[in-house]
Amino acid sequence: MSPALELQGLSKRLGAFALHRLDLAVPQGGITGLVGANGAGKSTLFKLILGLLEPDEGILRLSGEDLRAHGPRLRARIGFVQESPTLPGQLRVPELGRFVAPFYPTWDDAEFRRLIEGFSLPLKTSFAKLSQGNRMKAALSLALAHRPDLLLLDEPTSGLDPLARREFLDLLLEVVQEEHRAVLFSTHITSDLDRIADHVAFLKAGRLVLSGAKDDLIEGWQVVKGGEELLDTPLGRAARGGQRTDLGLELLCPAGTSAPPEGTLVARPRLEDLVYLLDRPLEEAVACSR
Amino acid sequence: MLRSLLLRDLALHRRVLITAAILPFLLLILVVTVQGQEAKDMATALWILGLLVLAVLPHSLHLREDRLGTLIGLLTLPVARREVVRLRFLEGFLASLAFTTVYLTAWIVLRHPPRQEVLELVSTSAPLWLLLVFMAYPMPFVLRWGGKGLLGALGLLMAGFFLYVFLVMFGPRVLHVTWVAAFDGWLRHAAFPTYLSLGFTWGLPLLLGLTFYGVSCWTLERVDA
Repeated sequence: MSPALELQGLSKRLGAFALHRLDLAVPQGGITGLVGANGAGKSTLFKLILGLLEPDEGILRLSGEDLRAHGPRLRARIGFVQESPTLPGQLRVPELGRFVAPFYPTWDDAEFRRLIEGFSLPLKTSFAKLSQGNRMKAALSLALAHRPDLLLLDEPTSGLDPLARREFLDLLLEVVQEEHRAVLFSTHITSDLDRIADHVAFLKAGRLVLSGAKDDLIEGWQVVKGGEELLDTPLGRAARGGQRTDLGLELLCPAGTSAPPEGTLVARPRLEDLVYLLDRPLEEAVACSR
Repeated sequence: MLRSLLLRDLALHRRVLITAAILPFLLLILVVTVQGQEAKDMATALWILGLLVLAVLPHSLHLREDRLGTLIGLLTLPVARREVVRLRFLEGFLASLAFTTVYLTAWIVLRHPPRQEVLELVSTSAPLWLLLVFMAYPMPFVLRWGGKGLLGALGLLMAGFFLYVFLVMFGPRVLHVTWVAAFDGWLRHAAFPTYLSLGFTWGLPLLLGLTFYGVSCWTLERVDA
């Protein structure tokens, strides 16, 4: 089965920032989390997928078809939600449906009504006057009502309070599982991905530094905590990043590198540990393998 | 698809379009207050003024979308960018046509002008030239650089105009005579077409308009949003 979205050697330079030869496959029927710090290139990547930016080079395929060659037709199969939805603020949610529907041949009005009722969205309030949580739900309803093959979510939870964020993620999980569609979810809040992602891709300064199934990634690494003597062990030499704390060293090492010396603590990393520690130089004391 | 885009703009820019729709009626109030020969001149001048305002309407709508943040939404719709350019040109033409129809009809009904006057007005290609200069020519600049592009395009136009005036006033005598003759001829032909000048007065602006439309498409297809 071909991936829902496939990127090969995708590059884009924007002033001082550049996205470097990105290779990524977003599998069908799962949630892929795209994680990275602010400015890592997440939004640039989304803009490239949506045709808002023209790549300098590389291939973009949606279900095997060239997105650059068939942009408008294929964009009808993509749903897009972003942190600040670009929807007309004066329109109410049902009006927004009528506003967007004509552009999508697969628009399902009954599905749209089902979603806005399910999300308990106020029908008589203009979009601009909705709470941020309700705005995201409205944008998600619009994105899902045309039954897209791929759902792009660009930091949809950034502006939400913890309660609204959790509710949004639960709703997302529910609606995605129902339809078995592909989702690419960008965020810098890694706990969101801990909850819902099947696959994870890490972007750092425009480069894809790591990608794969979330569980494999987590099992493929270990956080080793100990004293300075760790640096002289095989673990220290294999470390891909780390930090010094008041308690000693904290190194990110590939799992199963070698047995940890006595007196060290070994833990399974969380996604946040991976994002934070990967390729983080330890004042040049750790010889990173990359 | 164009129809859907038009309906989208009607919903999104409702207030701007209602204001534009009031324009002919506001101008007509001025027209009916003047009598005699002045009335005809006034009617023509206000008609041109109204057209001028409506020629920049597509730019206003595009810049408003940019300001509201809905331009990104428009460009992520499953619509070719060429369609967006087509929409902007169509909006300019439709607004001008609707304005002209309402304005001239009302003028004829209210003032009963002589048939010759009406014929002169409806057969002039001046609106086409206005749309060319104020809508089609700045369009690629607006699509590429937004508000600054519009100002730049109009600035270039003004600079060209002042250069022309300067050359006519201080340039060589031959240039003066040729340019004045050409400009006078252009104005006369634009206002009162003959069979011989039809190609120039109607064909040239259409051809240039199509060229600017093509350049606008080329530009928007390459703009990073």
